[in-house]
Amino acid sequence: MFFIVVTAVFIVMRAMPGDPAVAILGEAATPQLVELLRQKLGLDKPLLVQYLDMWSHLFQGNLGASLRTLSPVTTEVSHKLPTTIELAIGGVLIGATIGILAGVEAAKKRETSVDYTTRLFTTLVHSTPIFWMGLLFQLLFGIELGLLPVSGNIGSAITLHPITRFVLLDALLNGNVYAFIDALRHYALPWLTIGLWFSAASSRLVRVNLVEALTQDYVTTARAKGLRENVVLYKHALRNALLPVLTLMGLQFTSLLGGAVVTETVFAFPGVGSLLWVSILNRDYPMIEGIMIVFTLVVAFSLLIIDLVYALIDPRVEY
Amino acid sequence: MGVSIRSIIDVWRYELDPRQKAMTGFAAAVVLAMITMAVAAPYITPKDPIFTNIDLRFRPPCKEYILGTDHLGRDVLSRIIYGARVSFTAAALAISITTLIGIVLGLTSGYIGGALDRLLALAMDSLYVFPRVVIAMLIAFVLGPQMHTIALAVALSTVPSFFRVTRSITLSAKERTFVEAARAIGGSRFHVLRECIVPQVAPSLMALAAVTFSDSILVVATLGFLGVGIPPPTPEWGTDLSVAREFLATGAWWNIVFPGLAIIFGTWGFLTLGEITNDLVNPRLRKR
Repeated sequence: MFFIVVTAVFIVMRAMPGDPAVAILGEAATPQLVELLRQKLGLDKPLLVQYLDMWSHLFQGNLGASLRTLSPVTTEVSHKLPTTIELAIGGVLIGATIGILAGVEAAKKRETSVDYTTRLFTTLVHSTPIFWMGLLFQLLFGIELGLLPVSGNIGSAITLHPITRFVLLDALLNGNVYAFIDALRHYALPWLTIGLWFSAASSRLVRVNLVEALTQDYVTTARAKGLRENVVLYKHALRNALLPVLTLMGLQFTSLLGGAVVTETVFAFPGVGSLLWVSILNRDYPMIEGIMIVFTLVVAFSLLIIDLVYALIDPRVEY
Repeated sequence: MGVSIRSIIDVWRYELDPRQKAMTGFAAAVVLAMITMAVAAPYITPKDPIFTNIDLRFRPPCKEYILGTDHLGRDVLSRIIYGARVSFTAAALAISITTLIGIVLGLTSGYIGGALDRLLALAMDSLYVFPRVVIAMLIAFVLGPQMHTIALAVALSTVPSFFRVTRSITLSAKERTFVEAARAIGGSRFHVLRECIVPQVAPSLMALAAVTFSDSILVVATLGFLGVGIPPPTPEWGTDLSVAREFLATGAWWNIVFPGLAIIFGTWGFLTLGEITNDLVNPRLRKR
């Protein structure tokens, strides 16, 4: 699977219009100079040689150098990945919280106006372009109310000594409370954007599975024991309902990445998503290849994590 | 399990909640209104959507410009109406392409089986690793910004879903007795596929197509927003939003709010209709 992904990305990259050497040097460059750069970048070799070169580099953990900044792809991506991870985790936490609460409410009051309102809300959110949600938040909280910053992940005046490159974590490790609060303010709108978008998908899943779980015998037993309704819902039924939800969330993870790419572009967030966007617009082959490979690894890793979380929720699962 | 008109009417009549029916009616009205808007665009737009007049830039909504004007003094309402044309055409093209490719590959893979099936299934699964938007973005950039290339990019990004559905239904359908019978009386491969398998696949694909159509409107707009979609001056909702974003600081909210609402209405209408189609043709899978 990894093989197919890498090969497919390679083919698509080489099909891109325009010569990256020209893209770097600008249209005014002399043909000699362009030729020299092509040699240096290995673009003059036959495609098959380029392809095999890529694999041999890949096995050495070398993804090549960016054609745009000339720094190694691995360095650039590893500097930007933490931001994207922070963005995604925060968004998912917000989204899952809203989603679970809304889903439980809807399942509890099934076939009532509460249920239908929630359902209407989720289809509406699902139909909203994520970038537009981001733009509206920028317009409302950033421009009209002037409450929150609309771009970047931390104020430009703040210098942090990078330790983990997770901005929020670094601010704490540096003991810089001001920087931490500033970073939080920068994360607020992107988190809200991803969170709202994610809550739509998760609340539906929670509702469907919870309704199913509530018909089970153990729920009747729990109610017959005289347990409070909330205990029955959250402790007995929800726990079982969350299992299929978790599986589906694993499958949703890629669309979450897609959401992160778009959100980062809207908020000029220095993460992998906006890096990918800039790289595509600049025909930066090695960078795009590198990011696609990292995406594959991230998705594989997240599926592993979800498998591990199973064990936390379901005591029958042991590793 | 063939789907008859009778069974669809029965589900509609006896199983749906009145609120659900009302919602469907509303969605159908929205979709109908937007399609009419797209088709009749030249007759109903108050202004020329491409005509620029710098003196009129950033007019807030008023009597003459109901939804205001943009950074070049163009009428926002007219651009939204023409934008419906562009979006729906691109999405419809995309759906036709993806259905065709998905059906052909899915039928071949599922019916013939063997090594070919394994290879195709693996390749399609690999594509699932990447976000749809990213695939569409890459292909759109490679092919260049035109209506048919954007449609192709959006189409290719959804092929895996259509492939999966077609393949899985084909796999189970080809083991059924009536298919075996058709083969036994000497039906050619093409005949069996067309007469026995395709009718089994069709209802599910129809529902999938409706839902994917709504997603495609979103993806087309997203590509426009990211700068790899249909370029200006063609009125396209996403591209218009990406331009409006550059003038965010001017506080011209009407340039952002209205095209976005158009996208939401279009997407929501088709999504709701798609889901109801799903409920009607697959009553057993109906979500409680």
